[in-house]
Amino acid sequence: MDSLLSATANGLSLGALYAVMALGFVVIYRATGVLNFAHGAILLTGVYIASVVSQAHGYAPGALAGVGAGATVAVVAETVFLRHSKTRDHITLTILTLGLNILLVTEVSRRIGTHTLPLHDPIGNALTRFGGLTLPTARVLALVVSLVVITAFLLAFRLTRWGLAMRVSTADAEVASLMGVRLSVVSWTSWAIGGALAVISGLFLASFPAPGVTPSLADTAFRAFPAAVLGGLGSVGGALVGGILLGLAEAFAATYEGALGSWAHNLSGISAWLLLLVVLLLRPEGLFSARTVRRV
Amino acid sequence: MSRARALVAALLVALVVAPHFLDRFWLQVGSLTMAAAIAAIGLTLLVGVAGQISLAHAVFVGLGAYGYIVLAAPSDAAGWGLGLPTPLAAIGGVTLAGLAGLAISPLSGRVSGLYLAVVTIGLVFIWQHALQEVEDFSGGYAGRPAPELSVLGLSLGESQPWHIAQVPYGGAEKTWLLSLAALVCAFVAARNIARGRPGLALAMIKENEIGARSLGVDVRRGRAAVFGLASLYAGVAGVLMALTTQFVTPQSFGFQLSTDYLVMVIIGGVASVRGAVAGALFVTVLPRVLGQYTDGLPFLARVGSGGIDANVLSVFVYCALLLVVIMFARGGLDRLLGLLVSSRRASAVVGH
Repeated sequence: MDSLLSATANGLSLGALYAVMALGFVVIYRATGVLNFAHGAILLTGVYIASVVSQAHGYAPGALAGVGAGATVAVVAETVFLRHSKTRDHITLTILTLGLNILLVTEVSRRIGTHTLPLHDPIGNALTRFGGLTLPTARVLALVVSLVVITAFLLAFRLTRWGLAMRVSTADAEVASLMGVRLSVVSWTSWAIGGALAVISGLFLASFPAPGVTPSLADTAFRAFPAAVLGGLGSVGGALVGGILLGLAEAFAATYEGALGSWAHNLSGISAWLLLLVVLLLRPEGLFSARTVRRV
Repeated sequence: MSRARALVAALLVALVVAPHFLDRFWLQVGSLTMAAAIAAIGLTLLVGVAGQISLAHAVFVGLGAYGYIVLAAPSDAAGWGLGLPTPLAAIGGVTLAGLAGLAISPLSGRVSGLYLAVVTIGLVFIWQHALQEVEDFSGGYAGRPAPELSVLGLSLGESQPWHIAQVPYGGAEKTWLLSLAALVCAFVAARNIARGRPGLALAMIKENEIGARSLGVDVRRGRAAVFGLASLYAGVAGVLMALTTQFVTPQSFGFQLSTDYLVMVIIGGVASVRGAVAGALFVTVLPRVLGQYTDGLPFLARVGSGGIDANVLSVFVYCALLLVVIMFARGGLDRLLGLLVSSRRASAVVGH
């Protein structure tokens, strides 16, 4: 029973982080129709800068600098590379972000080398107890911060002019720009938000119980892909549900893989992908995407 | 056109006699390039012609390589094996890759575009997981040796060198010739498919799915079939890779190899078979040659020293090329080849 409870708590916290990251994918996808494969690179760059800055100036300025750097890299990627591409084909542009990802990850990995950089966060490896449940404080905080970030995002999406512009331009870009929405502004703010969200989740994914900043952090962004796709790429609610579902699946797999026998060894590493395969087999465009009717 | 034909014929002759003059290093790089070119041609049919993006190509290349090894090697301490005659095993490896490609047709037929891209990433991770867990199949981190190929008593490996005009032809030379033959077949077949009716149907699916359907193209079947075909090409490449390196490890068939193939296809130029070959040449040769001559190149650091080494530099170069091709020059290397091959007048007529 205890293991069930702690798996649920861990899964929720991990899932909230995936949801934050998946939200970044969805925002960028809605604004530009591109699936941002450079998410992992943005995350890694931001967290790397956070680690370097926090070495000299403490954790809070470091974290801020990291989030800022993530947003900046994303905006540069959008304004320099995507906007100036001749092609408007979304699949080709997605491959472009894949190239950016390889480029950035190679460079940052070269700088990190074989070290594990510490984040200098004040929480460290402290534990929090609720009743019979013991959790790393960093994970509890991750859950709280994720919920705050997600709420703030949803409010902005529903209530602000930016959110309105964003929703309108997804629905019909041409009409939106005729009504005075500046699509370029919507697009780069969305990339900035996506980049910042990636680094926020990255900061928690690099802190306890993870060892610190290593190049493999870029791969964790890949774990958020299925979260974004599971719900249907353009769906904000889908990203949240997808993130939580995958976090739970991973935590349960990690807890119970030992009991399932030898075939399930390390199952938690691929549980997200297996779940995605099953879901897309049943619903090829994700759980929450509107079913498009096409007549032939 | 006649000039292009003459150039192609000259190139073919040069490639056939090349093993006579090249040393082992270059022969191996050449064979690997030809294997990569076959895989890239398969992927260009899928991505360029049919517009379906797949990041799982490395899985099918790996299935070809491991399929060959498991079928050909006898069961021993290194892992399972069936000990079949090696030509059968080679065909088996290719078939296995193709069948695996068809087996996921419920996905490749229904799921499209970016969704398929993400699903295929998942296939890579699941495949890597399986390789690590089933060590009797993959040999674990240590990898497995590949038996040499021998067709009807005629060894295509190291053991019985042929002597042609006083030059001994060992494994490297023979594998070069075998890869060349496979590449020529793969190239011609892909060109015919891309230019013929199936290619038209696939291009139609890519441009306008509803239009394709209304003209009687079975979209789902078309998508699944081209995925299977691309996997078949990948399987051939995998067998050739195993024969060239004589040893495979699970780590060599991961996500990075998949992205490498995609980069080859894109810098080669969209939907161009010869462009895919050029892309494969570029991506395969660059890091190996830079690595070989690191000591002579003052701007390169040694691998592992933290500086810009051969691998890092070649990643920078080919990513930069990828960005340039996507941003400004969609024709890619194919367009460059076109300018080289065709005479000025022809390019002035066609090229605007």
